Amino acid sequence: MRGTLRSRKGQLLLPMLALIFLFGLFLAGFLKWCQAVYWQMRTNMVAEAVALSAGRAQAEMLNSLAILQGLENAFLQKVDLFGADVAHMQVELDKDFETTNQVLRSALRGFNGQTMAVAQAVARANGVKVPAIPSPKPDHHLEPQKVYVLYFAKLIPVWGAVYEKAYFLRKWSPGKACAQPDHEVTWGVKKQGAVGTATARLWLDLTPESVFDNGGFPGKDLPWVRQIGIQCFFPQFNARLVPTSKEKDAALRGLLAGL
Amino acid sequence: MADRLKVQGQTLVEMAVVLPILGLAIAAGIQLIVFCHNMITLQLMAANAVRQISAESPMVPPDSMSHLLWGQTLVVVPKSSRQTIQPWRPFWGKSTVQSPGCLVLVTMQTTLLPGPGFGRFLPLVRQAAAAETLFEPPRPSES
Repeated sequence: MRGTLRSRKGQLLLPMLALIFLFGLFLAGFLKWCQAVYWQMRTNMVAEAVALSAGRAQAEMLNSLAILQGLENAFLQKVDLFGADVAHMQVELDKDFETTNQVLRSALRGFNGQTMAVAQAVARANGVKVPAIPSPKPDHHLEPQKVYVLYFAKLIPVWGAVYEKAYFLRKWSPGKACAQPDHEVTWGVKKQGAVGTATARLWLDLTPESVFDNGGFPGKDLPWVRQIGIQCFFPQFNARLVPTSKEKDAALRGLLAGL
Repeated sequence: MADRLKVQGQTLVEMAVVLPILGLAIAAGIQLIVFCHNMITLQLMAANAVRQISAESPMVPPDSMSHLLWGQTLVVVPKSSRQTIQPWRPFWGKSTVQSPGCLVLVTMQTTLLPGPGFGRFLPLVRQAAAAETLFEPPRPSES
């Protein structure tokens, strides 16, 4: 053994080589750790960018929807009569109302798709190959309302009909006038083996002291004054990052680890 | 006999010249690794701090990773600076939230002190890592 380790031409060669080899192994491990830490930081940033971009896309769409819905007041004047929505509309404005309503409904149908498209575009732009995963699924949290419409030719009532999806109520914060949206989505992304998660939440840029604040969209269980017409005041939705819950973080990490 | 003396002589030369050089090279390598490790840890601390700031509050969170630094280091000093971006709010009017958001820059600083042995001859090395984020005003309450 001594003879093999200590050759005549270099007694310490093998121990030195072993030492260098061990140091090399340590260095390789260290570099791997550095790489993992940097990818984790980068992935966290990407997750934040994805969550915030998707949240802002949602906010932008809600703003557009609220404006479109507010425009319907020009064609349809509604009041709440004993719990039922009854509206007046001039016959010649029916087509214009139908067009506005179709645009509103198609924008609503594309809400989730547009949110996903923005999130995936941001993820791809940051070099993520695996699709970004949301939890829960993004949604507009609005529900359609039917209105009994009385059609008038000038002052003469012509006919009446129920319009099924005339406008949309907010599902969040029923009974609260100054409501804040409850849209909160956690996004998970995976890049170079590192998984990052971030959560964005929508908010309405309006102080609770504002008299006309109605949460951006008409709400449920509000006083009758709040139900005159389709009240979509201050469409000023915005989005911001919020802390991610441990449960959602663990669930998304588990899901993305398998991809 | 002469052959044996020659072998012992070679061992002596290797011990006297090569081993110290190798030891010094490895010590220098370890110092470099310590430096790099602490830089990465500081960057991670700064990144975690801004992540918390952007999601929760503008206050710099308490340091919880100092123990991960290698070697003898001074206490990590987090510094933050704020800069209001103009124009900040996308909406304007009487009822909008008036408190402006800001760009928060967090810098984590420490000093790597000389270590024992050969390391005591090394100079003080100041290390700093920075990260920045946008901090938006808190969400208004409901009523």
